[in-house]
Amino acid sequence: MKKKCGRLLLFLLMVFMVSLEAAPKDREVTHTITISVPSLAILRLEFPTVLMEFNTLPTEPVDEDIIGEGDTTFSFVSNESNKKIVASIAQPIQDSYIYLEAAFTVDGQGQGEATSLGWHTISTTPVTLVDDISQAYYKNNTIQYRLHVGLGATALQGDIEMNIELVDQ
Amino acid sequence: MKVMKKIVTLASVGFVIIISTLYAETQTINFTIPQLLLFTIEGGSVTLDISSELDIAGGGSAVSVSDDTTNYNFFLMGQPGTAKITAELSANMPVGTTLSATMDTDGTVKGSPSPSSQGEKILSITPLNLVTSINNGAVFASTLTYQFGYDPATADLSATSIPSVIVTYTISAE
Repeated sequence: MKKKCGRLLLFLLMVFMVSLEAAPKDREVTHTITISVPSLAILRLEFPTVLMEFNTLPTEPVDEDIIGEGDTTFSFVSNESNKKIVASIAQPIQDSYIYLEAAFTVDGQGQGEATSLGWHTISTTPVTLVDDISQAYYKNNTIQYRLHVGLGATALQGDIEMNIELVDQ
Repeated sequence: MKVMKKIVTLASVGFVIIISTLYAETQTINFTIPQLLLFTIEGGSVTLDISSELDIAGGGSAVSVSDDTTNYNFFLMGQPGTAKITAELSANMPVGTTLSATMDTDGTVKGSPSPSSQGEKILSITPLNLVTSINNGAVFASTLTYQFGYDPATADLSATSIPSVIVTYTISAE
């Protein structure tokens, strides 16, 4: 009797152990996610077209240019250092009495380093308007254009195609 | 009962966040040059006094006196064609007198207006061209000369003075 009880006890113990082994357990699962963010250099212009407006016109002959003005906004992001924004015009302005100036002012919402360089004449050679861009994101920054129309301009109307790039410094 | 072994595979999953790296944009600047056609005369009224000339001439010959102290300026922009400047009197001059004007184009030129002076013109109530073929550009401080002619042989000698006359200048498309 005592021997049977011992076997029974041993059997129950084995069943218990097997049950323990077969029962589901909490396990740690390691899932490594490698995130790769590539080099970012994004520039966005709010509007594809800017209309120049001549709000202040002379009422009598004056020896100075007539200036048309227009503005729009731009946004940019760069996770790298030493970037700059350059601008140029695709084709020379046919009328030598007309030239375009632009100023890109980093006055929007954002963070990081970026330095506006003020007004510059825009030609077919890219000119830097914002430099020292480092790990920066700014949106809704101001672009201002001035179209200088000198005495003797013969063009009555036209389009000037601007190329604006975020490039390495 | 078989013991179920759960094999945990250590998985490494690489994610690459794809973000468009657009960094060049184009923008079109559209403009229309305003059309300006401006003209001014510098200086106030002009007085033409014939008395000294009559003294010199002895009172019997036709005489004239001129004044070139007036300047004029014009300014053209955005004009599709050429323009002209005309002048006309508010009333015809009395018999025996004439008033003529000459608009020289000797001023400071900006642009390429290339104006053409028509020389001295005797003014009347009918508009006369004094400067023509004006292109876009400006001329500042060109000389405007008036000449008053008096002929005692035909003039009303009882008139001791001649009323002031007003000259109206108009710049317009040709």
